[in-house]
Amino acid sequence: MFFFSMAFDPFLLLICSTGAALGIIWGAMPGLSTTMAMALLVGLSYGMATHVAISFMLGVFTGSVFGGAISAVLINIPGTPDAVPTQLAGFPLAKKGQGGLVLGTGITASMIGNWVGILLLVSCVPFILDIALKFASWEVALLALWGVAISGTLTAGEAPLKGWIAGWLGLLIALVGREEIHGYERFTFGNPELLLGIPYIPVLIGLFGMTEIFDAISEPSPYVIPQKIGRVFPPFRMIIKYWKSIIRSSFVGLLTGVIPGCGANVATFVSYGVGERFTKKNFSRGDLEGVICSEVANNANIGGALLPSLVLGIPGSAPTAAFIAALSLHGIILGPTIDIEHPGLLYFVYGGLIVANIAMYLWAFALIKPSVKLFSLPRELLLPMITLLCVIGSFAEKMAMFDIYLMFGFGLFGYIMRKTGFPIGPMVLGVILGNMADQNLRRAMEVFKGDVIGQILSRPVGMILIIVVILTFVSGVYRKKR
Amino acid sequence: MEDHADRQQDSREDTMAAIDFISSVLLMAFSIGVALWSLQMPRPGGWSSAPGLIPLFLSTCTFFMGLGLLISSLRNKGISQLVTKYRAFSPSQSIIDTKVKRSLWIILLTAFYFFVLLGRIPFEFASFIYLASSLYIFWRKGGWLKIILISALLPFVMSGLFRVIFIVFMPGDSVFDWLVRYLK
Repeated sequence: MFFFSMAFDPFLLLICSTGAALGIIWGAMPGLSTTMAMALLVGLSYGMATHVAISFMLGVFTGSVFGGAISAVLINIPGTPDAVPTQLAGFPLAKKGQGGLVLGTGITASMIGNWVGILLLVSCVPFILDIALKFASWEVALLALWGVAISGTLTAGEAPLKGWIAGWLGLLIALVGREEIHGYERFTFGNPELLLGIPYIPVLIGLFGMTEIFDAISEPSPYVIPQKIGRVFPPFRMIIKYWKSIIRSSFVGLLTGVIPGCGANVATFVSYGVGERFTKKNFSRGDLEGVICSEVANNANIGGALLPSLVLGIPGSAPTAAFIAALSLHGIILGPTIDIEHPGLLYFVYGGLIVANIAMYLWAFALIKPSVKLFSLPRELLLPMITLLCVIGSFAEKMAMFDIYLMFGFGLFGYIMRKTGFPIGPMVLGVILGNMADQNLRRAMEVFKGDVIGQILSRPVGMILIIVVILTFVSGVYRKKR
Repeated sequence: MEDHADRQQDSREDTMAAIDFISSVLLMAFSIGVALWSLQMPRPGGWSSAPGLIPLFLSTCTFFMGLGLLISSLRNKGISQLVTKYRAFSPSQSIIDTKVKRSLWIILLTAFYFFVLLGRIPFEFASFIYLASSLYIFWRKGGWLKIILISALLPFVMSGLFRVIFIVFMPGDSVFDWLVRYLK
């Protein structure tokens, strides 16, 4: 209890709250992802005391996960990749002048997701780890393929085939570079810049940011986000009405967080897709329930991703890998003996998460008005200014001009895709998940060598996933025919 | 009114069928290329861990998806629509079209900013040139003074914020880097 209450120390409250505010602002800027924020903090946190570093990192983590939704809803450019489903459901409503309510709903959903993540983190550790440990290479690869397939079905409207094509092209793009099993260079054309592969941040900024800039500015009278904010706090009755979606999305977010390598990207798409299935609604026309599905899953994922990180020392997602690295700089090695070697640390993290969650909630509401005001500037003025952020966002990770050129290339490609009716979202998800699918599928094939069919049939979780992937394709074809 | 909307919808579907035809042919050619390339990759540990295994699987799937798109386009008379659109196409008319003109301007300006200015001159100056020219072209109602002020101040504010607070480097160099070097 002492360690838990330590997180509520006034100084640590201030640190965590500052982290949450900076995280929200960071996440709201196109391309500046949670992973990048956490990675930058690894070095910076070295000079801080351990408890200060943990509080600050948890604040930034929680804040930046929500921050991505702000630009996704208000300018149709997701700040982080996992905000894409929020963008799909929220942007059409923002265009109608409900940007404030969409963000308010998103913030409330994020807070609920965070709480559920924390509660389940505390109470369901053995149960969730048991399920997660059933996911070996084969199941993780299938999960990645399902994520891409479901996002293709969801984002392409009446032409799911185009969504799947976009997703599969994204998977192929991710295979460029030196593969990690044999070190063979694939599709690099002898270009040393491509040896490490195509980074997903410039791809994301190019496909969403630059495409939006080219497309919106080419309109002689571009759309405007109304300045009137209107209601911001979502009615309590509405939140209660969507309780089923909240519970479902919490479990999706938590579970995908627990599975190593499956970050919030998969969580939000799967939760959004499952939500559409259950409610029989098309969230992409603009729907608050879609925003809830995406944001609850996104934030429940934080608790989920921290679970294997804290208990097993295996990062549940890329930002938690940075968290592990930062702690190891402070001499803390996470793993099964954590409670013996560092007694009370787990409780401090639980407390820190609660503080970060409350800080995120308060800061996010405080930032709605200025955000709507800023993003309702005329597009002809706002979008050239956003270009500068896109440049910084693409350049920041590797400090390579090549990434800016990549962003431009993908921006043009995205513009062509948009004009030819191919959705962009699945391609981004494909680029993010491509390597995960490739490595895990080949690793599984190596393990299954000699008895592939028998091994596949003997894995119940894998069989369920295969059926789910097939059903996703079949339902897409059926929807098109209908 | 409804007739007009229906006609617009029909025209959009016709255009899409023609576009789908071209996309599907390009996609199938691309996936065949990738598949052939994948087959030529070495197999040091046998087929199960071969670097070309997944690209081959994905490109085969893409080929069949492209085939599906081709069939759907042919059903919607994609070829005849393509021929009709090609005959009706006039390059000079397209250039005059405001939307095309605006698209070309923003793409060319951005390309100039990325490929010519950035990395060669400090970020703040490169961004000033880009912002001033794009705002001048697309945001005429802002007026000269506002355009110059925004274009000059914003890059400084941004690079100051990122360079000093977030410790993120700017492409090329930044005035703040000069300042640090000078003070040393």
